[in-house]
Amino acid sequence: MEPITKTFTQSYFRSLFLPLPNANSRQGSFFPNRPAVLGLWLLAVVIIIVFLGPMVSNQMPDQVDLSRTNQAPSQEYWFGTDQLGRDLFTRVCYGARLSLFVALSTAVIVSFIGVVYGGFAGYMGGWTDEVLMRVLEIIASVPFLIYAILLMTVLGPGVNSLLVALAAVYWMPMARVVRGQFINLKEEGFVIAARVLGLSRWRIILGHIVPNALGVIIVYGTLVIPEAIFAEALLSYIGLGVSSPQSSLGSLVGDGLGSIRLYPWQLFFPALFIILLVLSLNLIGEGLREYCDPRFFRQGGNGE
Amino acid sequence: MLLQVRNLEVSFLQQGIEAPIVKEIDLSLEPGQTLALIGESGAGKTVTALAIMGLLSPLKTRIRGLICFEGIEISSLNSKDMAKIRGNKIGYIPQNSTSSLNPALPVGMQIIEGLLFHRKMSFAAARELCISLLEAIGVVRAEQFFSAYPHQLSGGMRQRALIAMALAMKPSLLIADELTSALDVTVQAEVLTILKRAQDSRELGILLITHDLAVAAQIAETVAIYYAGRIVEGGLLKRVFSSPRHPYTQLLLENTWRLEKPEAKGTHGTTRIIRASSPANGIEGCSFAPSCGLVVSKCLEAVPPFVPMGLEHGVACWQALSMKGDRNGE
Amino acid sequence: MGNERPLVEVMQLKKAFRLGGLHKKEPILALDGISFSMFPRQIFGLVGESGCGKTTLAKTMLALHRPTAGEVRFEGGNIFSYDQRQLERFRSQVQMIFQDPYGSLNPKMRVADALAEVLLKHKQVNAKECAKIIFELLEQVGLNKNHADCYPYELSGGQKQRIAITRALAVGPRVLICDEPVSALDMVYQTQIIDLLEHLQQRKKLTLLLISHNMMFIKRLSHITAVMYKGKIVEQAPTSNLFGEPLHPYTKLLLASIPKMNSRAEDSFPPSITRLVLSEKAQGCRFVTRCCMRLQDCTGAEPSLKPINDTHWVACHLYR
Repeated sequence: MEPITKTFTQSYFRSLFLPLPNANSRQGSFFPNRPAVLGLWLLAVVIIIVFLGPMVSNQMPDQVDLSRTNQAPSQEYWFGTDQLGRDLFTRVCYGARLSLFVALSTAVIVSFIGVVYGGFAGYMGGWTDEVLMRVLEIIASVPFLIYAILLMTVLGPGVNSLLVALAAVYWMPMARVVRGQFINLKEEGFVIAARVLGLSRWRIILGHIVPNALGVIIVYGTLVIPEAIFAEALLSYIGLGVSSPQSSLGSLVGDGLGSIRLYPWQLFFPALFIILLVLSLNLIGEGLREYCDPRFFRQGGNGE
Repeated sequence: MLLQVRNLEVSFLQQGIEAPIVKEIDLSLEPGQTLALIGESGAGKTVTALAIMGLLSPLKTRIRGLICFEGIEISSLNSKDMAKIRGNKIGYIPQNSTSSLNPALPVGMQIIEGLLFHRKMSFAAARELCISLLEAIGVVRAEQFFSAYPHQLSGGMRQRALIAMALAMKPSLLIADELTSALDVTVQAEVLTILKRAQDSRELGILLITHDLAVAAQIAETVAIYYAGRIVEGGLLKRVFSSPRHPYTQLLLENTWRLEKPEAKGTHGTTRIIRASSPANGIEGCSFAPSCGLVVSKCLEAVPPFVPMGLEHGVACWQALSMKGDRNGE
Repeated sequence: MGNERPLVEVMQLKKAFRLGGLHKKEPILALDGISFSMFPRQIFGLVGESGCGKTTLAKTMLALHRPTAGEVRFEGGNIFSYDQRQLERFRSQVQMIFQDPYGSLNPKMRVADALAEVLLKHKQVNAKECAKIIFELLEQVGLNKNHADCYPYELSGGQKQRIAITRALAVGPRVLICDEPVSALDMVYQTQIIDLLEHLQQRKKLTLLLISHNMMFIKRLSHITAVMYKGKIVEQAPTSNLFGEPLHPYTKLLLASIPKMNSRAEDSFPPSITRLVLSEKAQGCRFVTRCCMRLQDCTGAEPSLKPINDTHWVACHLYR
């Protein structure tokens, strides 16, 4: 008797994180997906470097020392120094941390807005859906860069306004995806069954629709991260994002570009980290997407 | 002998491990006859058909055993030669009539495609042949049908288009996979009649895959009952259906008869749960044993061999075998 | 049934679907004036081929769709005028079993949770009683405690359908609407589910609406059978009458088309019926394009459902 009484309350939360339906079948497992595993390793290495590296290098990211400007990579300064004599390695580490922080926060904010907006539109359907989607299309028709630049100029540079600008752009595809999921799931047998069984609207949404849409939400949330890193780099590069003395990968690339002829490493190393982060996150995202593919979902459903 | 399958075994490769799907399949089909493969979903009927047509990917499957078609061993042919035989000699009617037709092409074009490209016929000749074929399978206004798009046709009509497509190349073997399962009963009756007529007029061998015993009873001469990837009983349809020996066949027949004759009601609330038939890996003995009411100790120890039980009837069951032994001893 | 009042009455129910956005299409009438009554403890069978509006009818009867016209009365009250509270009560009285047992269970919810969710909603029970009731319910449908902890993908089709039945019964309904409850299952499980439904109907004194394309299944269980064709009931009679002396040509065709174990295709099926290849708008009777007994009148006016005797109704110009 114990298991049921206990599980009923616990299980909802567990079901959110749940063994994807095919958990017991060998197909569609995440781990044999080589590129995704490579991505995971790559990301792990980058994160270790970024967080532990500065302790080893023993430099401060904003320590100006005009006696050592523009040095080439050496044993002491692994990535060299910039035009103010700051250790580039440490700056890249701190910059990558900031980029990651911005990207992760964007993904979380975007997922939240997207689920609420898209979910509401998808669940309500009819006129509500029409209006919400037309509004979204109008916003989406403004080119991303113009939109973000406009927001950044209004809000002024800084991490907070960067988050606002990125979230304002990336919630739209997420909302579309969630809406599509909700519309499909709304017509699924078990959701109709739940309506017939007289369950409340919130119970149906939270207990039946969201857990089944979660896989897709996580996948798209993951895929937002590399895009946000890229976008953050772009904005910082054109000087609208993070400003000195803080550094992000984008602003470092921007600084490095000025002296590309003389000191190419000042551009090379931050650019390398952008590439590594975006690549590894993309690989992981694609792996997750494959793992949550609806085809596997169906196969799992027939588990006889 | 049109088609002969000896000791066929198909395994799927999953991460280097071979998972057997069907095992020890023996089939034979004479020209102009119909062989029905009967069993529930997942029992291995479709896999058998795909193996015969050479449509299983060699990267994902291992096929062992012998498949002979019109005296040629086709199991060892390369994919090019096999494609030739498949197009010219073996017709296939897939299960789903909606997804098996190209929505962007008129059905007539899809029917004569093979004639145009493999037989190098002229369009006019192919069209004429197609229209006479359509009329033969009971399509009125065949010319209109020829230029219709799939979405303009009903399920039964689409099924006819697929039948015409399979028959256009004048195959000697037709494989029909759950041909009528998705159709309404009135349309099913028409399609079965069409198939029977086509068979009679051109000595066509038909391999009919179905889960419905009554459908098999309509056109098949011989049957093979599948359970968990093996043939558990087979032979002349009349013999198998009138004196089934395997408990699974008996169960199937009992269920079918009970629907047909409600007077023969069983006990109320019989809730004996039959385990789903899936290829049992790692389980020794007869795979039906967990659901069987007549288990003897031998059933759990070894897989029963398929043994003839008199003329054109065979069964794989220890019980049936022991009974036969008793009778011989008398 | 005597003078008992009908439990569910469907009156002139119409439902039109409007498809396509930009180009205005004519609405499709999925239900075109359906009327029938179900009496307590009766099994009412509804036969028809795919696309005739069976599922739409079931969903409309559960107030999942709003009808274009007509009423469904439950114990005398029109269910489409119910407010939220009345609707909730209605849901605890009328339940449904769906065609597809694979889709009707939430893949991320274990059996026990799915049942507990319903029990906690409709019955005043605490968690401990809840577990006990779940085990009892599972036993009633031939499953056991072990199945309570399963996720749907761990169950076979037949077991899933048993769970779906259990879940509907957990509410404690008086009326159960079964939309093709066995057609997605393999033969062996079909008869088991049929037996189970029959058993439960008698034990729980349920009123059953059975919807199926399978004549044999309907014949096996139902007391009254109605035949539906393109959104309309064309014949209705006590089951033995309908199967014994079918009147409407469509019913006859349906019965003749059933493959039987001891017949062969060449001698049993009715001669192939000339049918129009492309759908054309036909006037008059909706069956006229497939009817082999059509009269002059048949392309004129649409025949209405008229009684032949006390219990046998048919909509055909042949009988007047």
